[in-house]
Parts: sequence; C-alpha cells; structure tokens
Amino acid sequence: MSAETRPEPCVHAERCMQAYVDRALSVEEVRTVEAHLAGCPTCARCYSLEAEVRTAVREACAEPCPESLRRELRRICDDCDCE
Amino acid sequence: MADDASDPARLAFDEQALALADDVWRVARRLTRDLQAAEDLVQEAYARAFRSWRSYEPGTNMRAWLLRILHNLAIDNARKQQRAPEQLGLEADDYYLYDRLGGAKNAVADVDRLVERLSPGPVLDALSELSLPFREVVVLVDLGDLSYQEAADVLDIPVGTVMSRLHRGRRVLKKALADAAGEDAA
Ligand SMILES: [Zn+2]
Repeated sequence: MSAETRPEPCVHAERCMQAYVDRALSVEEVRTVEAHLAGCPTCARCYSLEAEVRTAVREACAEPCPESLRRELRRICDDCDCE
Repeated sequence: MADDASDPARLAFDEQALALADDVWRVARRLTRDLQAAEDLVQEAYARAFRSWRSYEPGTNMRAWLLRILHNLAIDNARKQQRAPEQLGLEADDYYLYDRLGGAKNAVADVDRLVERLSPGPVLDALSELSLPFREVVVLVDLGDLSYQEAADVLDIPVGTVMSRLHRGRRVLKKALADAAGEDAA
C-alpha cells in the first residue's frame, strides 16, 4: 500500500493520524476521521497500531523516580535558601 | 532553612513540584545517557525550580514549567560536551507498521501480538537512537503529556516545528519497532 494508490479519504486519514492520537483535532475533525475509520478497516488498523506504539513507549519508560532521588529532592527543597 | 518555609504558597508549590518527580524523572532519563546523568539533571532542575519558585505562575501547567527548566539545563550540558550533530535515522511511511506487519489479512490477532512484540528493550533502544531534537519532542508529548503548544513553549520553537519533529521522530521510531517486531516474529 503506497500513498499514490491510496484513496483520497485514506490519504486524509493518514494526515490526521498524529493529531488524532495526540487529541489535537477539533471535534468536527474527529467526527470526520472516525466516520472514515468506521468504514475502512485498513485505516482503522493503522490508527490502532499507532496507538499501540504510543502505549508501548509510555510503558517502556514507566520507571518511577528512585526513592533515593526523591529523598534528595526533598532535602534540596528544605535546604533551599530562596527568598 | 528557607526564610519562607512557612509561606502557604511556597508549601503548596513544594508539594506540587515534588509530586511531579516521576514525570520529570521519566523525561530526564530519556534525555541523558545513564542513571547518574539523569539523577544529576533532575537534582539540578529541582534546585533551580525551588530557587525560582516565584517565577512559576499558579494555575499554569507546572509539569511544563519544570520540563522547561530541565530542557534548558540539558542543552547547557550538551553544549559543554560539544557532541557531534546527530543524524535523524531512517524514516518510514506513516503506515509502515501496517505494511510491515502483514496488512489486513491477520488484522485482529495481530494487534494483540504487537503489544507483546514491542517489549521495553527494543522500544528504549529505538528511542535512544533517535537524535536529541526529535527524541525530546516525542518524550515531552508522550511522557510529559504536553500539548503541541506547551512543548513548543518548553523548547522555544514554533508549534509547526514541534509537529513536524514529532511526526518524523515517530516515523523513525515506528520503522525501528516494526523491524524489531518483524525480526522477533521471523
Ligand atoms: Zn482509509
């Protein structure tokens, strides 16, 4: 599947994908995209893969702040000589 | 002890800032090469944040405010190290993952398996190989949960640049991940 052979609504859906996943589309744009996804399994699958990647990034980077560092930050806070 | 230790505004600021330590840490971890560098960066950022707490405007996004301090320190450090300019890496088409993973033929089952295939190792490797300007935008939006505009303010670049770097960075990431997933499956 290449961009040249993709139908126009699919090309439009691909262009909207980033903003859709980042929740940066307007309500109306979301409606247009979702109407297309409902009838286009190819784009729907691309969107879900995109969301999967986003989730995988968040999960891979989920390590919490080490306790020792958290204590150190508290100390820095208490010692701060700001006015 | 701070002179204003009993100032309720200061106490509220402290608690709110410390509660964001996980978010700041996760971003710092991806902007630095190892644990020690990440710890140093977060400590420096918090020290600066506590010193200049009055410049934080209550009601605005404190996570974005802290990440801006973190970013500024990270560029200062990078400048000191005078690292060679990094390359972006290979970009893939937006629908590359789809193409690579076999398209609609095995649609439903494949989505489930992709999560299993994308184990933390390859994801972290792919992220660390992304050059800093691209990695930083991905990290601020995905881990810092910033809007495009907030990320633009943190990085002091136009919002259009945020969007294009994010887009291109993710395309590189997706290509690396699709290739890793494909290798595992093969
Ligand atoms: Zn479509």
